[in-house]
Formats: sequence, structure tokens, C-alpha cells
Amino acid sequence: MYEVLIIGSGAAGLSAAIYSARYNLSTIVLGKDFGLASEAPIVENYPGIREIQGLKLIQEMQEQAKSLGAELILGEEVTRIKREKKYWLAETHSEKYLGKAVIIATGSRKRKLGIKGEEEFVGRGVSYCAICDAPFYRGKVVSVVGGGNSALTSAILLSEFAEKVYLIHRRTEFRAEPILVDRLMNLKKEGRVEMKLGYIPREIVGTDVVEYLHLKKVDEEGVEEKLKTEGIFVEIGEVPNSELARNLGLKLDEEGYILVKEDMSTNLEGVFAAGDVTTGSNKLKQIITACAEGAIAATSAYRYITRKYQ
Amino acid sequence: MTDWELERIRMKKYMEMLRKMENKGKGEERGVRKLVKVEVNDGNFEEEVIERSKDIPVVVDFWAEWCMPCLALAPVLEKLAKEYNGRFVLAKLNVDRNPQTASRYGIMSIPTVIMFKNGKPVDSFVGVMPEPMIREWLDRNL
Ligand SMILES: Cc1cc2nc3c(=O)[nH]c(=O)nc-3n(C[C@H](O)[C@H](O)[C@H](O)COP(=O)(O)OP(=O)(O)OC[C@H]3O[C@@H](n4cnc5c(N)ncnc54)[C@H](O)[C@@H]3O)c2cc1C
Repeated sequence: MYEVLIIGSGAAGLSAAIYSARYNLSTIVLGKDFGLASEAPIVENYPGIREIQGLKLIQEMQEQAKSLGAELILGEEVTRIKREKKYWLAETHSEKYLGKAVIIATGSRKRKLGIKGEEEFVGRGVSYCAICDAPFYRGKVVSVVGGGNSALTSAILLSEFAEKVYLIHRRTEFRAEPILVDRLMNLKKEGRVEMKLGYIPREIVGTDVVEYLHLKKVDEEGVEEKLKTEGIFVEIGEVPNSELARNLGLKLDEEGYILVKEDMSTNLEGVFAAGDVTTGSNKLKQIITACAEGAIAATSAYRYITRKYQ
Repeated sequence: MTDWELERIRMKKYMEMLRKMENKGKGEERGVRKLVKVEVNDGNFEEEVIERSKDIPVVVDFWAEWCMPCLALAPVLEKLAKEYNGRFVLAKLNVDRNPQTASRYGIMSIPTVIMFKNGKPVDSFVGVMPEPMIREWLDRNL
């Protein structure tokens, strides 16, 4: 029996664990992996640290949470959360964990393109993680699909390895930080990045590995263009991992984010949520906001447990 | 406490942390008695994987330090290797340091996991899979 069960081991879950452990609550974090922040090649906007690899930052948070006494179980997928009398039960494939309060910090996952050839070529040219796979594309031609922060970050990183990077975006403007857009424009000037604006991907074609990406102009019918490319990096945004929350009976907004109040409480007493999976922080999806929400959620869990059990 | 004492405690903690990190995933590891895990490289791949797989299936984990899904998958594979206690050998290949083998098997995304039997690759998967699915994959192929 734990006082606080934290589901999800990204920035939000680990920050919640740090706070929860410092409230002297017995705390366990159940998580699949290192979370999305670990994919950031460099993080330059976490105050106090001028620049750090995303993975390094997450590993530091893990060590910090553990050294304060929180238990951390990685490689564990929670398959269900349910009420068990006045407690909460989290089930994984092999274990069950009981807690007085739950913090759901399951983040989000990459959106798929949903086009022909995408699934077939995963691992053979199609990738959802630029920092993992960039070195395999040294001297090759690659494409990045998307126009937000993650897409631009990926394109900038890939330009260090690839001979050429195409950036395919359905709009003609980017929804990314201006500093990233400036860097991209410089790479364009140097001829290392070529923009394909106003295009959407239609099909991925190849025999053994990816050879072509078929594109279509957004506003013209039927006109297709074949782009010769060996790698396709998909960065068209994220979808919240809120299936567990939905099955538990938490209220979600129309996009699937967990509805939270200012104290990170949800519509169920004793269940809190934090990070990219929530409607909190004006939906700014960043490490600093994930951490802040984790801190608030743990504080609310502490207040809830003290009120209810002491 | 004096500053000096604090500094010593801090150093001690730091050293412990380093030691923990160093001990992670080094060299050969044995389960109760059987060999369950080896580290392989471009130089010994032929012997450690191809040749060995003629006696016992070898599951090669292609990984790198900069790949966090690899770091998440590793403990699951290691746990299963120990549990299967010798029914297969887990071989870790760092693609960063061993580009030859990685390109020979056409690795373009990591983690990629390939099972070798009788000197040949027989099945593979890419990316992090939940433990029950990896079990199924192993049972299907062993
Ligand atoms: C390429 C890239 C670069 C970025 N760069 C920056 C940057 O420079 N600065 C910045 O501030 N932000 C950056 N971000 C955004 C930042 O990564 C996120 O805002 C942050 O990771 C959110 O943290 P989180 O803990 O809410 O979610 P996540 O980091 O997504 O963590 C959620 C965790 O929960 C786990 N999980 C989900 N479901 C389950 C389940 N059922 N059972 C167990 N575990 C589960 C997931 O596997 C994951 O580990 C970047 C994102 C990307 C993709």
C-alpha cells in the first residue's frame, strides 16, 4: 500500500514524485519510459540550466526522486486504474498497486500520419524520433513532416547528419518558437533544408525500405508530386494518453485532455492529473509547466490524504 | 555540520551514483547458472552471435546511449533473459561503436531487436513493446 501512486514517468510524474516524497508520503512512480522531454536534443528554456540534453535532464530528475525516497519502476505499463473501496488500484501486466491517491501524468504520444505505407515502413525509413535515428541517415536525403516546435527541432537536428532535409508542412506558416524558425531559415539559405509548404503526404512507397514520399498540394485536386527520400520523420503533433483516465471515469475535454481545476484535481476525489495530458497551464506543453503541475498535484494529494486519513 | 562534512557526504553520494551507473550493463552476466547476456561488437559478432546461434537462439538488441527508448527497453529484455534462463542469449550491440554490423543488418531505427537461429536472422521487432508482447514474440520464435 502506497500513499501516492504516480502513473507516468516523464517530467510531470517525476516532479510530482519529488514533491510527494518531500511531504513524507510513500510514493511510487509507474512508467513505461523516459517521456517526451528525453527526445529534446537540447533544452534551452528550463530556467537555471542554460542548456542540457533532454535525456540527461530526465535522468537527473529520476535520481533526485529516488534519492528522496520515491520508488521508480520503469518499463511498466499501467493497463487499468480502478476504485478499490476507498483506495485506488493500478494494474500493470503483472502487478497490482494500491494507493490512497493517484496522480495521472501519462503525457502524450506522437500522432501518426495515417497514410498508406506508414506502418509497413516503421523501422525501415519511417521514424517518430529524430534524435534516436538521425545518425542512421548520415549523407542521405530525409523528410520531416510537420510545422510545430518538434518538427522544426527535428529538421534542425537532422540537418547535422543528412545531406538534405525536406520540411513538409500543410500550412505556409509555422506554429513554432521564432528562434527555431530563424534557425530553420538560416539552414534554408545554406541549402541544407528545403521547404515544401502547402503540401500533405499521401503515400509512402518503396520495396524493402522507403524510397519515395508522395505529396499532394493542399488546395489542388489530384496533383501529386514524388519526393525521393530515404527517411520520413513524423512530427505532426501529439495526442493525449488519456485512455486510462477515460476508463476510470475522468472528464476529458473535446480534444481528450483531462479536465483539471487549478489545484490539479479532477472530477474524482483523490485522483489528480499533471503535465501534457491535462487542460492545465493554458495547455502550454513544456517541461516547466509539466513540472509545475506535478508539484501542484502532489501538494493537493498531500492535502487530500491529510484531510481524509488523519 | 561543517561545510567540509557536507562536502564529504556529497562526494560520497556522487561516487555511489557513478558506481551504480558504471555497473549497469557491463560485460557478461549469468542467471542462476546459464549464460544469459553478452556484449557483442563488430569484431566478435560472427563468433558470439552467428556461431552461437547454431546451438542456442541469440536475441540481439541494437541500441545506443543517445536512444532513450533503448534505455527503456533494455531492463525488460534483461529481465526476460534472466527469467528464460538460457533458453536464449541476449546480445547487446552498441550501434554507435559498431556501425558495420548495424549497417549489415539494415538498421535504420533503434531499438531494433533481431532473433538469430542457426546462424540466420529469423524475426525482429522495432521500438519499445510491452512486456507481454515481447514474451509472445519470444515464445513464438524459440
Ligand atoms: C522533440 C521534442 C522536443 C521538445 N523540446 C522541449 C524543450 O526544449 N523544452 C520544453 O520545455 N519542452 C520540450 N518538449 C515538450 C516536453 O517534452 C513535454 O512538454 C513534456 O515531456 C511533458 O511531460 P509529461 O510528463 O507531461 O509527459 P511525457 O514526457 O510524455 O511523459 C509521460 C510518461 O508517461 C508514460 N505513460 C503513458 N501512459 C502510460 C501507462 N499507461 N503506463 C505507464 N506509463 C505511461 C509515457 O510513456 C511517458 O514516459 C519537447 C518535445 C519533443 C517531442
